[in-house]
Amino acid sequence: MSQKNLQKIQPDSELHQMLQSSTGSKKEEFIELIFSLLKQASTTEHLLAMQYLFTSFSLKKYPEEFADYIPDSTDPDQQKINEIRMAQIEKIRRWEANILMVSREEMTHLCYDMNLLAILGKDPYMYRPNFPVPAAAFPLGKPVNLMPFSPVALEIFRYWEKPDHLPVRDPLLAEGTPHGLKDLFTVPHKDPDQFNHPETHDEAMGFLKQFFSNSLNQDTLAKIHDPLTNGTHFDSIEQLYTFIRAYLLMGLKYKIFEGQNMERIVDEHYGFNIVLNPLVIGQFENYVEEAIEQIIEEGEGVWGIPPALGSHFWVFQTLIDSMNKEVKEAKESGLPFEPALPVVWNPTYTKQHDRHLINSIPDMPSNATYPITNQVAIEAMELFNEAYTTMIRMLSGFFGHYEIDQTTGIRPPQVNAYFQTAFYPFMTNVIRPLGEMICRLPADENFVPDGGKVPDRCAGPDFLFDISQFDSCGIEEAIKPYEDVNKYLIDFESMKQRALNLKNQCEQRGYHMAFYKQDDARDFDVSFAYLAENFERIGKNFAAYWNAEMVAPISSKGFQNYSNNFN
Amino acid sequence: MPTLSISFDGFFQCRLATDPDPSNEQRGISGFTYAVAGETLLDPSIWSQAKDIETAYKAKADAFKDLLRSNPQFDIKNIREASPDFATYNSRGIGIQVSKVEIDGETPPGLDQKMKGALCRFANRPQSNGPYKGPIFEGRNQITSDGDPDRFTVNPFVFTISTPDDTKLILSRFDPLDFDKPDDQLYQVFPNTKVDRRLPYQRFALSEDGLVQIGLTSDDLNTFFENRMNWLKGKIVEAEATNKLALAEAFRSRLFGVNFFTQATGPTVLANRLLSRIPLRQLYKHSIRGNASMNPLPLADTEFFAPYQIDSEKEWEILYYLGQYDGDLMVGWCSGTLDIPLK
Repeated sequence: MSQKNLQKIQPDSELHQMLQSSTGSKKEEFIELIFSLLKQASTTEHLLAMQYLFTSFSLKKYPEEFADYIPDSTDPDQQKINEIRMAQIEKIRRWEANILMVSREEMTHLCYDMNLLAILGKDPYMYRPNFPVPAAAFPLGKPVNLMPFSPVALEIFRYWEKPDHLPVRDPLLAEGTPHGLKDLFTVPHKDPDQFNHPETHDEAMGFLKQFFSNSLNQDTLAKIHDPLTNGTHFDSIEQLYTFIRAYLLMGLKYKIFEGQNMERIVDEHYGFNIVLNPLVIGQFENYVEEAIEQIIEEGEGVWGIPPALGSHFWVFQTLIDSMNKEVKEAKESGLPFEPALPVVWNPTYTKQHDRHLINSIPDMPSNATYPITNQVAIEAMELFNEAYTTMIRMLSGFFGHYEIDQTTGIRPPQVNAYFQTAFYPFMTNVIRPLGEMICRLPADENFVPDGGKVPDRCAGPDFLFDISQFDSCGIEEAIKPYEDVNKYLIDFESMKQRALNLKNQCEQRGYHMAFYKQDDARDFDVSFAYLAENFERIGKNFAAYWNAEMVAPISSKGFQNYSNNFN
Repeated sequence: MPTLSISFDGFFQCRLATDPDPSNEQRGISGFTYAVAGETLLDPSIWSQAKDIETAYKAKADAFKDLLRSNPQFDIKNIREASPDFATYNSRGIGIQVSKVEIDGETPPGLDQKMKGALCRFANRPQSNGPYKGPIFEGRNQITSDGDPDRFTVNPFVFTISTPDDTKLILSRFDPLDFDKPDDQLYQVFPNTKVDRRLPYQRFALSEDGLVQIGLTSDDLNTFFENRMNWLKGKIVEAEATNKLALAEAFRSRLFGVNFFTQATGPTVLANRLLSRIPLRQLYKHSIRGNASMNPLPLADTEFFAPYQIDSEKEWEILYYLGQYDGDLMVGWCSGTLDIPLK
C-alpha cells in the first residue's frame, strides 16, 4: 500500500463535532497527547540507533583478534588458517558497514521526529532511558539491551524491523542470550499478524473520541504519557506511527495547532539521507505524511506490504543468512568462528541503583547489567558518556534553535557551532572510535595484559545518562543545551584531559590492541592522544563558530559546482 | 629575472579513511575506502612514487599476487589494479614525473633532456606531522578542514625533485603553514585563515581537462564503475578458482564498496559519492617559502642546474591540480608547474 492509499483524515460526524468544539484546555491536552506519542517514537528511534552502534562496535576488525591468527607464519597449515581469518574479517567488515548504515537511518528518523516536534511547537526531545530497557516499555516487543554481535542480537534486530505479518522465530531460541537475561523478555513472542492500517486508523479515531469525551481510563493515559513506568499502549511501531500520523494531521486540519517553526525544519547533509523538502509553509500536512512514510518504509516496509530490498528487515535477514553460512562452513572446517569480541552485555560502571529502570521493576533479573571493574575501561566509559551527553546537549541546541538562510546557506553562529561539531566530528571522530576502543579494553580489573591478546571479557560503552531514571527535572536538565558557551568549553577541556590520562594509563599498564604490531597501527596510546588533540581543536573551533569569528561553509570563491551527482 | 618552469604530472596514492568513517579509521567500514586483506592499514600518507611504497611495504604476499596483472607495479603491496578500461592508470601506474621544462616559455634543450622523467615527490617532514610516513590530507572529520570536507591541504608541504634514476635529489623546498611556528601540526594552526593560502584556489566539479589527462571523457563516466564492478566480479571468480580465499574476499569487499557508494538512490550516504570524485579536480596555487632558518633547508643542486642558477632566497611558486580521485584504487591524478626564479 502506498501512502496515497493510507486512510484519509475524515473523522465521523461525532469526532468532527468534538474536534471543532474543543476548548483551549482540551486543545492543550491533545497537543500534550501528541507530544507524548512523539516522545515515545523519538525515544524508540534513539534506543535503536545506539543499540545498533553498540553491536557494530563489538565486531572484530583485525585478523589478530582471532586467537589462532599468527601473522607472518611460514607454516603452510598456519598460513591456511590465516587466510581463512583474513577472509572472515572482510565479511565482518561488510556486515558492520550495513549495521552502521541502519543506525544512521535510525538517526535520520530521530531527526524527522525532531522536525515533527517543531511543527507541533515543542522543544526537541533527545532523552532515552539507560540500557537495558524492559520489553514492556516500548512498542518493540523485546527488551532493548546493549548486545554484542551474536545470533540472538541479529534475530532481535530482524524482529524489530520485520513487517507485522511476517513470521520469524522467537529470538530467544537463538544462541547467545546470557543466562538470567531471558527474564527480561516479559512480552510473549507475537504470532504474525497482518498489519491492518484501516483498522488501526479506526482504532486511533476511536481512541481520540474517548479522549475528547474524557472516557479514557487513567491507566491508558498513564501508558501514553509515561510508558517507561507504566508500559506502552502500543505493540508495534506501525501502530504508534499510525496514531501519530492521524493526530498530527487532524490537529493541523482542525487548527488545534497551527503548523509552527518552519525555520526549524532541518534539511542538512550530515551523513544522513534527509531528502524531504524543508520549505513546509502551507505544506505541513504533506511533510507529516512524507516523514512518517519514510520512517516506516526504511524499517518495516510501507504499512505492511513486503519491505523493499535495502530496508532494515532485509539488511538483517541477509546478515543472518550470511552468518549462518559462515558458521556452517566453520563447523565443516573445524575452525570455530566468533565474529564478535567478547564484549559483555549491558556493561555499566555505575553503582547507583536508580540509574537503571529494571532495578525498580519487580521480577527483573539482578544480573542484567555487567559491572565493569577495570579502571581504564571505567575511565574510558566515563569519557564516552561525557562526550555523549555533551553531544546530546548540542543536538538539542541544534534542533531547538535551528534556522538557515535558504538562499545563502548561512546559519546563525550558535546553530553553526552545533552543526559543525555535533555531527561531524563528534559522532564520527569521538563517539565511534572511542566506542570501538572501549570494546577492546578489559572488563575486569584483574586482567593481565599479554601483548595484544584480546581480554577474556571486554568492556563496552554504556551510553549512560548519569541521572535517576525517575527524576523528570533531572532528565530535562540533562538534555538541555547550555546557554553559556564556556560550559561547553569546560567540557571539551575535561574530555581532553581524560583522553590524555587514558593514553598514559594504557602505556603504564601495557595495554595494546590486538593489531598493534601491524605497519602503521595506531594503538591505544596514539589513538587516545589523537582524541585529546581533537578535543583541543574542537573547543577552539566551537568558540570561534559560536562567537561568529569563524564561518562555515565558506562562500564559494568562484568554485565550479553543479547541483547534480557530480557535485 | 628569468623563471624556470618545471611541469609535472602523474598518479599518486593516498589510502585515507573517508567520511563517515573516523579520520583515524584504519580498516575502512562506513566510508568508501577500505584496506582489504593483503594490504596494510589505512593511512592518510600521500605517496608520489610506487618505488617508495615498495620500500615501505614490500611486495604482496604470494596469496595476494595476481598472476594475470597488467603491470608489475601491481605486485607491490597496497597498489591495486584497475579494470582494463582505465588503461592510462594501468599502464602508467603510480609516479609523478617531470613532463616539461621551460625558461620563460622557451625549452632549454640540455636541462629539458636531463629533467624529463625526473621524480617529483610530496615529501614528509616528521617534525610537523603525526605518526605518518608521508605528508597527509588531513580533515579530521571537519576539525581541521573548514566545513567543506573536500578542501584539504597537503601537509606538511615539502616538494622535491630527484633525477630520473632517483640517485640524486636536485630540488627540495619546504613551505611552513605557520611561518612563525614551522613545527606546528595542522591541528595546532589556528585560526584557519593561516591555512587559507594552501587550500584549493579553484574547484572544478566536472573537469574535462582532468578527465582527458587520465584518458577519459565525460561520456565514460556512466560506465566507469560498472566496468570496474564487472571486472571485480571476474577477479573474484578467478581467485576462487585458484583457491585464494582471502584474495577473493578482498575483491569482494572492493566490489561491495564500489556498489554501495555508486548507487544513485538507496542506502548510500550521498548519491554517487565515488563517481563524483572522478571528474573533480581542485587547483592549488601558493608560494613555497621555507628558508635557511627551518629544516629541511632549501636545496637546488648547483652542478645539475649549471649554467643556470636557482634563487632559493626568493619564494618559489607552485600551481598544481589534485583530483580524479578513484576511491576504489585510492589513487588520484596530480599535474602542475613549479616556477623558480633564476639568478
